[in-house]
Amino acid sequence: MIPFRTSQLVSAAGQALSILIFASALGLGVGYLRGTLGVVPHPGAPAPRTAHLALPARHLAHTPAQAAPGSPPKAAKTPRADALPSPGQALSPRQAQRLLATGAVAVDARRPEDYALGHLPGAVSLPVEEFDFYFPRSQARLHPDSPLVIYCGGGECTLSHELADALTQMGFRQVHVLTGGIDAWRAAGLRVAR
Amino acid sequence: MKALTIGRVILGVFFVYASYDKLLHPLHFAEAVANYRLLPPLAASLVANALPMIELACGLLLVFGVAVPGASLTASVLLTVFGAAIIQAMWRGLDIDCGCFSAAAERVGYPVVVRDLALLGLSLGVLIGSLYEARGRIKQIIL
Repeated sequence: MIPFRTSQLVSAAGQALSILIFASALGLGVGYLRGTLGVVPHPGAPAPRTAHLALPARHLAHTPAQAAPGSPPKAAKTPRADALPSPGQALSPRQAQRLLATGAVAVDARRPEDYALGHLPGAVSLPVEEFDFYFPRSQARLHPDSPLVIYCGGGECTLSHELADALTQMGFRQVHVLTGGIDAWRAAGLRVAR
Repeated sequence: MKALTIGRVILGVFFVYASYDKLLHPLHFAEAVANYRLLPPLAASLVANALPMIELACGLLLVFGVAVPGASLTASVLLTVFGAAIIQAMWRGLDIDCGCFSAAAERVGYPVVVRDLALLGLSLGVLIGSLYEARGRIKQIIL
């Protein structure tokens, strides 16, 4: 025997519908005001279990750890290796573009909302202001031996340097900062992803 | 009806807690929703913006004992949908963040399903209890 009436169920369903409608409208309104509506940072990209799986094969080819143990260093570097900037070197937009073309990973140090408005193609969002929260989520796409191009907004922005310091302390060896940030990237006429 | 009160407060606190991190980091939650590969990116974004507010509303209504039948019914529907989404992700072999309590960054798996089912049981219990309690009040008024 049902311990309540149908009218009670209808009433509960009405309440539930009201909650869904009002809360959804509020959530979508807040999302619109925050600029997060219609934006998915990395759609359909489940993070692999290990960082190595996320690393393009060409990165591994440049990784010193990939050399056979005890093998002598090569006397002549490949032309691509010669083109790579030295670790820690600040990059112009064109240098950054060349490095990214070799498989380097762009890392956006700004807030997620700024990232959503436009970022370097393929960039990983790693807001330095909430580094502890975001780093574990972005870690799968980063590797200590892969070149990183860190950037922020541009002008007087210091977020990229703070993030570069944090990543260097965590053992990332090829950390570069894009001088002038995404503003300089845009000014150079390079493509920005959304 | 102490059990009903305790049940709805526990359920409400769970929902408020679940909404908190999603409201703070909507883009990460949008990513978690998109990774289930059930919705196109735009729909995933809409869900990611609306869902935390629904969870918050449900949680607060349950904690404060307002519109409990409606809130617990909404919670039951949400938990059913969450459970189905998690099970299909496991079925398809997706190794993704479940997006349940964003800060915890849990992967989909059996422990998450068990917890979801436990919360669904609690939610249904609160729903039935609240309807039963309301019927008792109606009888008292009539008699």
